[in-house]
Amino acid sequence: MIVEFILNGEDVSLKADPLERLSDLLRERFGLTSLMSDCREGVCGKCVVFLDGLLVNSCMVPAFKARGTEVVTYEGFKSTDSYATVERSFREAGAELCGFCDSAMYMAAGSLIDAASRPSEEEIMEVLSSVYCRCVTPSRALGAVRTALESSLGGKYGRAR
Amino acid sequence: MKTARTSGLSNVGRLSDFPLLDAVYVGTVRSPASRGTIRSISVPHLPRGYRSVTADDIPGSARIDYIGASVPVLASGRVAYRGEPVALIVGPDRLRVAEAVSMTAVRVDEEPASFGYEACESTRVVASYAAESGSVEAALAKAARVVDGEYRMGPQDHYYPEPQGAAAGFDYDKLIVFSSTQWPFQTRDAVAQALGVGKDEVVVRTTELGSHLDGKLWYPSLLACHAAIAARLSGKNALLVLSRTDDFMYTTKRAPTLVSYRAGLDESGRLVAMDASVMINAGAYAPFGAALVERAAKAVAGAYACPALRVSALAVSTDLPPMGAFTGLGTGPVAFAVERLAEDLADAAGMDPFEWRAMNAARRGDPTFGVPLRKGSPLEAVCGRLLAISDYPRKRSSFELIRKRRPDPSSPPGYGIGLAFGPQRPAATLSYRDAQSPSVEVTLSKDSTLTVRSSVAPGSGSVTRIWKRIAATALGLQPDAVEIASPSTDGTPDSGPNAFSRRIGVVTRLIGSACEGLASKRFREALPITIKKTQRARSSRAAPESPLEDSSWGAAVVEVELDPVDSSPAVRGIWIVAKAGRLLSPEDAAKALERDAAVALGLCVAECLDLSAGPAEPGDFRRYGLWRAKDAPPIRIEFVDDDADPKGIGELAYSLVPAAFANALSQALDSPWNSLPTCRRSEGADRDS
Repeated sequence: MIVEFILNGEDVSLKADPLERLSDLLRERFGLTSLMSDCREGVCGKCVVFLDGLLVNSCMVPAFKARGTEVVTYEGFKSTDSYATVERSFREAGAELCGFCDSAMYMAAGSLIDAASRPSEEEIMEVLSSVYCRCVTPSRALGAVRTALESSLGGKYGRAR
Repeated sequence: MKTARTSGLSNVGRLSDFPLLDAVYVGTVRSPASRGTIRSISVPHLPRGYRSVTADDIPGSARIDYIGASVPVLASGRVAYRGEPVALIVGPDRLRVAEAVSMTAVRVDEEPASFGYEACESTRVVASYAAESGSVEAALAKAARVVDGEYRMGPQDHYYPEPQGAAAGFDYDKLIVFSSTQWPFQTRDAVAQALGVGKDEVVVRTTELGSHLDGKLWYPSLLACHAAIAARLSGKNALLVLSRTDDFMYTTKRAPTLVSYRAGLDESGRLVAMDASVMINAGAYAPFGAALVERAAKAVAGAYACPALRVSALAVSTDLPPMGAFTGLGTGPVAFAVERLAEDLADAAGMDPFEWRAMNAARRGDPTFGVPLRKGSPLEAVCGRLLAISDYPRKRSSFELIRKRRPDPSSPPGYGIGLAFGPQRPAATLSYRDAQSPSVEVTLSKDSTLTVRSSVAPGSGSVTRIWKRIAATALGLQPDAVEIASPSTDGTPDSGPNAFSRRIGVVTRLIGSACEGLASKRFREALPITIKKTQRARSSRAAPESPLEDSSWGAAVVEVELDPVDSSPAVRGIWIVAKAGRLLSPEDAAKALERDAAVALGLCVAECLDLSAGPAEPGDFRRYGLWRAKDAPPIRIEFVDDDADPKGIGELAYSLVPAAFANALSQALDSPWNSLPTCRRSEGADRDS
């Protein structure tokens, strides 16, 4: 089967088995190693990508579902303003990670920024917890995302504009 | 020895990112039975470019002998656990290798297997440690109160960020092995032994470890041998990465531990005698068995003085996969047990738990494991602050009133607060094949850049910053001028295993010392200058030292409230105060301890694994409830000022939080809770693994 989609802003086309995992395609065919192929059961979150703007576990996406979509991996996310905001906020909050989960955690945080809403603390932690990481200090990660949201939404986070 | 030149062997960050150009994948064929004799291994006809590897193909020694046990590289003749590697399939396509593995039939004449460890035969005891000081029987006979307790901690998974694996390939006449190992020199020696070559013909480069919780201490060496053999026989780069499910089922887990006590108190509540036994289910082959029992035994008295003490610790080999280290290597379950016992002893004495601890904490000159303690435990300093910030005394009293005065005694009180206090022993060496002389090297180059070399990786940005700052300050450089070399057995000296707070307790000090030595030579000798510093092993003739000497100390309070509908515990807060020497980076230390506290709590309430009926199944991984960041309660961390040398804090939360949580839960339920994780109770915690 020919699978055509937009990958990090570029049109791509490749031959793939319909049920081949999107995570495997991205890692092995395109060399996009920012995402990890770990649990392969949609549990750990280390393979997240944006699929038509939605954060998904790419290990649970068969190739045929990717046809005609827009896929953004961490490599593509790094060129966005959201990434710059998230990276700076995590660094300033001292919420550094171990190097395995950074990409996924940043993208999870980025999804909150891109949603341009004002999520509660519980909602923020729910999204960040979609990535399983033993290295994260929860309060620091929460603080980093709040800072990032304040920065991107303008004004003090939580206050109506 | 094959000398094919291969490519793509520059440093690799993550093992799973190993370059796959002209590489082969390695799949593992495993024993389907827990115990028995291999009758046959039937490999399907393999396509061109694929091959199988059995024990007969191992060029060198068929067993790894460097970890206190003798572990087969590939099982031959007999199998000792379900999932034990018996053969490898090697080939260029990952999916076809997996297919061939699934089609390979291993027939075993199966024998009855034993997974429990309490009713064990003496022949299955693989390591033991016993010690006695004072007259325990006489003291117990005279004691005003005698308390018995039994405490258990079950197996758990380390769930490090990358499953275990290894990669190997030749660079001219050297075999380069990439391994996410805590102990690269041990891995090198194991691979050299398996290939039958000299140690100088093997180079091990450490890949990123992430948060490993001591789960990558020795098992990576076995996988490194597999990758190395595959590279040797195929002449290509070889990559072996376990799936997360296979890693969960077959690699080492926290060894299930049972700790039993009989303790005696005098009329005033003072501890006068303790008879303790520790049983550790070490699984097959029982690597590190000797280290586990010794460390567990020396932790049985916790922070408390006890004039008459007897301890017996046994590591038992069972037919489970090898069980092993978890942060603390044997001390975590015992720390949980002794702090639960402290609560039970306080209750028997009719005393407040803190008051009991204050009475019995080891002071200067008190006997601890038969040896007088030179510096007393800092209970007042640590707990004084902790009680203030947690409001423990008031809450404890309030919850006791609720407990005693609740109208329906059949319903749990619902509120509890628990305390735990204890040490983290100083950076230690293992009993065997450890660098008895861990070393660090620093080199100042002509361009005024400094390179620090250690086989122990910093492992985090905060430790990297600390090392760079120490080195830069000593030499008047900018931190950017300091480079930390990636651990490699051909490029860094042997600093021993990356365990037991070696980064802070040993390597940091050696870096400082080496840089001071370099500073004194800098303007007197031509550059480049290299200084090597080595920590000498403690002389065997030195006077015995208390196991509590030079410890870092901590105390934790956990507050619990039960859900009124299903009585599930919700943690309302965790407070930890620690005294750990001079803090090299207070902010990073607080961050690390907060993170550890959150993970330690998660290990108490979730992450259950029941191996009483046998090794893990794939479904156990799906049911293994991983703790998530959203589940962390408010956590407050403080440190007590201390101008002693910096000490490690990496084990404190894992020693203190479980006991404090169980103490809180016991009050909230008005029933002792002596087994962790909590979900084990419903699985039958009275079973023996």
